[in-house]
Amino acid sequence: MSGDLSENSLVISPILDWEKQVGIASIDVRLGNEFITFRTSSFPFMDLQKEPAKIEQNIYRYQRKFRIDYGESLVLHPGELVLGATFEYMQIPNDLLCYVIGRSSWGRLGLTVATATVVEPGFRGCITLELVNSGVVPIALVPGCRIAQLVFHPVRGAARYKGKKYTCPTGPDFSKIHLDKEMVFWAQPRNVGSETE
Amino acid sequence: MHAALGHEIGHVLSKEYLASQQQKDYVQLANEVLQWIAQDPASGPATEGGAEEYFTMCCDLRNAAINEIVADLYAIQCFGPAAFFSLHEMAQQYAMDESPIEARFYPPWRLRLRYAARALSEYSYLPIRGVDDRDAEVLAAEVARLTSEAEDTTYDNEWSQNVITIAYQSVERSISSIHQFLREKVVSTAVSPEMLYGQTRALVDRLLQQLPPCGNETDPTSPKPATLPAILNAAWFYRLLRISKIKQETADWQKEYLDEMEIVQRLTLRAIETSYWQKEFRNAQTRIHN
Repeated sequence: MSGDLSENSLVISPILDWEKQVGIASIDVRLGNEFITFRTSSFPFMDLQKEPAKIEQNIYRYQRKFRIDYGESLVLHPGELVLGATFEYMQIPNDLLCYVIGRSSWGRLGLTVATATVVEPGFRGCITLELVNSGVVPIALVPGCRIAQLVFHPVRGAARYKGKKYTCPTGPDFSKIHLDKEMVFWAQPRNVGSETE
Repeated sequence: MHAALGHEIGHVLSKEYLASQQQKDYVQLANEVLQWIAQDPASGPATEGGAEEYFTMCCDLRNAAINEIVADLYAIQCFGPAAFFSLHEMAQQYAMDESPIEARFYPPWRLRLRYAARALSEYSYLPIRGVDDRDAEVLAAEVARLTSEAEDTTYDNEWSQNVITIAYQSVERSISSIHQFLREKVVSTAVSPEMLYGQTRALVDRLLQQLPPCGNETDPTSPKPATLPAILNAAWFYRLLRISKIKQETADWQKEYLDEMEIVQRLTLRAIETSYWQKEFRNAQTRIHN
């Protein structure tokens, strides 16, 4: 990170404490104050065999987004999943791949951070963190604290980020699985063996 | 929203200004009403008691206008050109020239914009600088366009109701004392053009890169968080620069503009929040280590 603002710069903004956050091989990131949690809903399961508009509707029935104030905490119960996002907004250059992994301090309490870990070259925005309590006691998540770390790998080639599903997110994003066009093909019911009869 | 907040806080000062009004201002107003009635009895009140009613209406019109104008000028002192742009955008939702007598004495939006536009010059916010030269030309053209809409003196042409004219001529005479009053009261919260424009260029560059305009991070080990007025003004400059460019680039410019502005709004709100926490955290570190 040089302070240069070209498209090929790594930008992580803001880094509140350079000495504490920037390590030898990783950069700590903090937890933001916006979350997506899951509601107990009236439908029995997330059915991806519906048409995309219906899947999207169910996603918004299933999940809700909210903010808490800094200074408050969100309690994550054992087995519970919540989506958060990094406090920092980032720009990943086209020649770097980023992994999000948990910090061992939190892992030893049972908190698993970022179940989907890869951030593609060219990404801009706050990274959504999938936070799961794998422990046996509730954990209070405190916005602002250092919750995860970023590890970077150089990549070759000049591929450009094509992600249109999530555009400059400034908080956690809802799933956009309904935009996955392949789902329509794979979710289509088929009559097995009908062609041989 | 933040510029509107500046206006609402400004009402505290407008009440104080009106309370400080000297008797001579009202005496002059009364004399002008009586003079009008003497010169043109046919257009005046039918009864002697009506003169008092006309004078009261004159005072109400004048004071209602001053109430809003002082608040607007306070917002401009706190937020610079962003307050004018916000006021202009808000005015688009209403009739610019509605008669104040039809609007419960609320002054016409065009009148308010006129004084707000003049305040930009009075407080040295014009010309807009703190962007590169080419962008400064585009912004100058946009500001000229917006301020020309404000300058059309409709209250003289559209409704020549004498009581309104007398009231607003009294407002015009009060403007220099309003500026003086605000200069004395707003010393600590006013944003100087130098401080504002010293930050905006870096912030506009960040928005061009789809990064939140939260500060100058040319040295990432020692970032300089931006002030709230600088963030708001950078967002407005970016918006005005982009709309003129998008209109040239594409036929379906409205959708593209709205999509882009949705991102800019989120980035601006993000910047406001994070620059606040940058300062708070820095102050906390100072307290912890001292």
